[in-house]
Amino acid sequence: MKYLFILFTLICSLHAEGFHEERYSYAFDKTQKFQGDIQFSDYGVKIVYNDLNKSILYDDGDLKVYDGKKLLSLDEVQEQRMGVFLDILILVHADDTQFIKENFSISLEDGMEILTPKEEMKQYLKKIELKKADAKISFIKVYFKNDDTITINIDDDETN
Amino acid sequence: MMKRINYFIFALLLLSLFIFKDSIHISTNLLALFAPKESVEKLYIANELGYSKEMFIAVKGFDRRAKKDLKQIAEKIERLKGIKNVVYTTLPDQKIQNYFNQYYPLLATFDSTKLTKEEIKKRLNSLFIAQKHNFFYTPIDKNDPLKLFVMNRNTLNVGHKGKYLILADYGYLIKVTTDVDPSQMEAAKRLYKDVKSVISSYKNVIAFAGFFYSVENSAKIKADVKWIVILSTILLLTIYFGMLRSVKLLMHTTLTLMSSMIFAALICTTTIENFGVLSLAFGTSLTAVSIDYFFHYYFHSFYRKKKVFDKNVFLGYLTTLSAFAIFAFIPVPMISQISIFALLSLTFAYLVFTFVFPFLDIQEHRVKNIQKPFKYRVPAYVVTLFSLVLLAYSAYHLRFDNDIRDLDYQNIKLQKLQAVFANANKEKLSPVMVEASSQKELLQRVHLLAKRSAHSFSFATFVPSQKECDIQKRRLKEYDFKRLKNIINKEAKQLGFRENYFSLAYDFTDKLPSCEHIDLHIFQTYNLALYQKGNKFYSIAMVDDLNKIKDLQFATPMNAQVIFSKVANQMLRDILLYSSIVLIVIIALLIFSVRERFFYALNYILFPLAVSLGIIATFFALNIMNLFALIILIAIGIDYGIYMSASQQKSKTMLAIKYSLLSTFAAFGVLIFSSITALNSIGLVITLGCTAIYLLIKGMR
Repeated sequence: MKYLFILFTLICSLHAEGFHEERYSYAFDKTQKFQGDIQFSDYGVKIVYNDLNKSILYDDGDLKVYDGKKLLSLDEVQEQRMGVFLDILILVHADDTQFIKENFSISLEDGMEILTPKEEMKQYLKKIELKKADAKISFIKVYFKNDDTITINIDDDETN
Repeated sequence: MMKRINYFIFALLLLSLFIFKDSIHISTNLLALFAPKESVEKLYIANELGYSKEMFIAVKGFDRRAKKDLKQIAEKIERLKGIKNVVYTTLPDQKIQNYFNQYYPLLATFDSTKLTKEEIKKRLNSLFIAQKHNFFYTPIDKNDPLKLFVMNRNTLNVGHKGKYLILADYGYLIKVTTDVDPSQMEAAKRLYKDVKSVISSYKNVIAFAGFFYSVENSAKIKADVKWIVILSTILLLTIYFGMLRSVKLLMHTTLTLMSSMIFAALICTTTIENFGVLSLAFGTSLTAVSIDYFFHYYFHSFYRKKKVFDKNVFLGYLTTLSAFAIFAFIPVPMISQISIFALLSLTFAYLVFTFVFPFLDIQEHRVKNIQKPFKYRVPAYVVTLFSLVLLAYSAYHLRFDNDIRDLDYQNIKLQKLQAVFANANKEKLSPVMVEASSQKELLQRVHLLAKRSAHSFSFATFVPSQKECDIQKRRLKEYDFKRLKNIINKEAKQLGFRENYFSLAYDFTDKLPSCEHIDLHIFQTYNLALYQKGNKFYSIAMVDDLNKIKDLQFATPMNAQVIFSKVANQMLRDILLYSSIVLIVIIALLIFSVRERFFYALNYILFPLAVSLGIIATFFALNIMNLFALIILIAIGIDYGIYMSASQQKSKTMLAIKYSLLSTFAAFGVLIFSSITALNSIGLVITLGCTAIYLLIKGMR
């Protein structure tokens, strides 16, 4: 769950509204595709998976996850994890480069930024690849410790 | 030559002071003056363990701005001198995280139920569904796919929102461990100033630490004491000069008092271990009481008549000496030290006023205002009866205030702030010190405390006992993980998982770490410390109910209020015991010295005591400072009783006592104007006592 929000964190730095996601599961050797919208407010964020009719709302520490209009209840650990990563998401959207530097080592490879996790993040992630176009992030690929990957392609403004 | 002897003595003492300056040791450890050695030792160890060195900072609100401020403040505070660590999240630091990772199979709760093939299949299927259908990414734990191990890490006794620590509804919280304890004034002042400087640039940020009291109260106390010292000095000089009307005499008297103080201070500070600064201050003030020897001699023309010996002054001195000699053995270090100081300084002053002053060519005092008693005077036996009745009334109504905090300057603003931070803890826990002869035994003991106190917080919260560790190891060894893994991989393949995806499942249970050598020092960020002194090991544990562990000899409650209450109660018992002995000795001495005027003389002790205690019993609560002042009152009362009962020239004796009383009031009575309860309590008793003695000299026959 929380890895998804790392992706969102990075997406938010693009100020993108729409995104396409490819989720590769090593366990099943299969890839799933999603798409959605993201919207920020002063202290919160709203993520909507339009075609699935599901959404996540986070406002000033208050988390709500909806399946359609039905409010889903999450256990404490799950909620805590989501809260942490939604906080990260908001901080990055607010251009908090300090957070990135605190948690990742940054290097360049074939025109791509490689974020290698430090300390705490190390136990969940292998690395993150970022591609930028016109100072905006256009591509993100997250490599998880369990060999799963998530690839995000950011939609151009014109396509929205 | 003899006319200058007083200057010579003073110069000699100053020279001695200079010569022996390196041997002078004054202890600033106020605790050692009141508490018995064992309690001081325990508090010292508690201090080493970090108890009372915590600081809390809270940022109002739970919004992004508050979180941003929280991080900035934490970073700035971490850079300050005197800071050990700063924590504002529930996340463990790297060392603790590594420990959790290494000891995971032994720390987590393990469900050892033998699972059927169907149950395993069901659980794997739910994993399959979750990852395939959840609209948020749900990772699979290849090491423990069936979730047999559950780790509970939210064990801190602090509220939290997400990973951030919070102070109830107020806002985010920063917990800081400092190097500074309330007795380190310079370090405390510096850190106080630095912290205030950091938080002053943020809105709605509050901070509190135990040492804030030391810093803020010491400034208030200093200001208070400063004007009282000025008032006292002006009053004393006015009294002395107004009465003596001679600069030369004023000079000699002042020099004698100063010489007496230096003499006593020199001996006490070079020979008595841990002679306290407070004992020095009160001993110095007490020296002023010796002026009554001079007044008595002066007003009775002792110096002009060239008499060698005055029986009344000697008896007065001897009785005071006996009282202080008895109090010198009291097991309350401060009272014992003051008594020794008084013994030395009063003896020195008595010797100089008696044997040196006759050589100083002192002019005879010309009596201008004849001291007359009141028109109606009460018989001595009535005063005795009245005093006894009043003492009985006091004994019945007196309430003893054993809370040492009531004596300090009442810093309401800081008290309110402390109350706000008291909400930071989820449970109200009390600290206890755990003592053991090995680390292994210490762990056993904190676990025993944890069993008795459900919400305790100690090493037991994070480290298993050897017994728990052995049980868990045995359970893991007995569990058939090989069978489990085979079924998991077989069933997983059938469900559609990649072949051998779970090939490493539960392998982490193969090699288990040893529980014998866990480094307890890594838990410093949780303010859990281990202290070793000789072959003893100590730690602080927090428990929710002290009553549940009161039979455990190895656990000592470390609540300063509880310790000082015990100390204050013991002091009360000691003072009552020693005061009784003093009274018996005084009664014996009075019978011997004043014979038929015994009750008359005794009233100079009984009546001031009865009046002071009667008023305290009616309007206030008795505290240890009142008790201390009552001892001074006994000391001055004896002299006046002997002088008045044996005096042939009542008018001159009354005048001498009147000036002595004024002088005592100027030295101690002015403390009644202090806003600090400790000083005010002394001033109250001395003022009441002086007034009572004045009424006696005027109104008793």
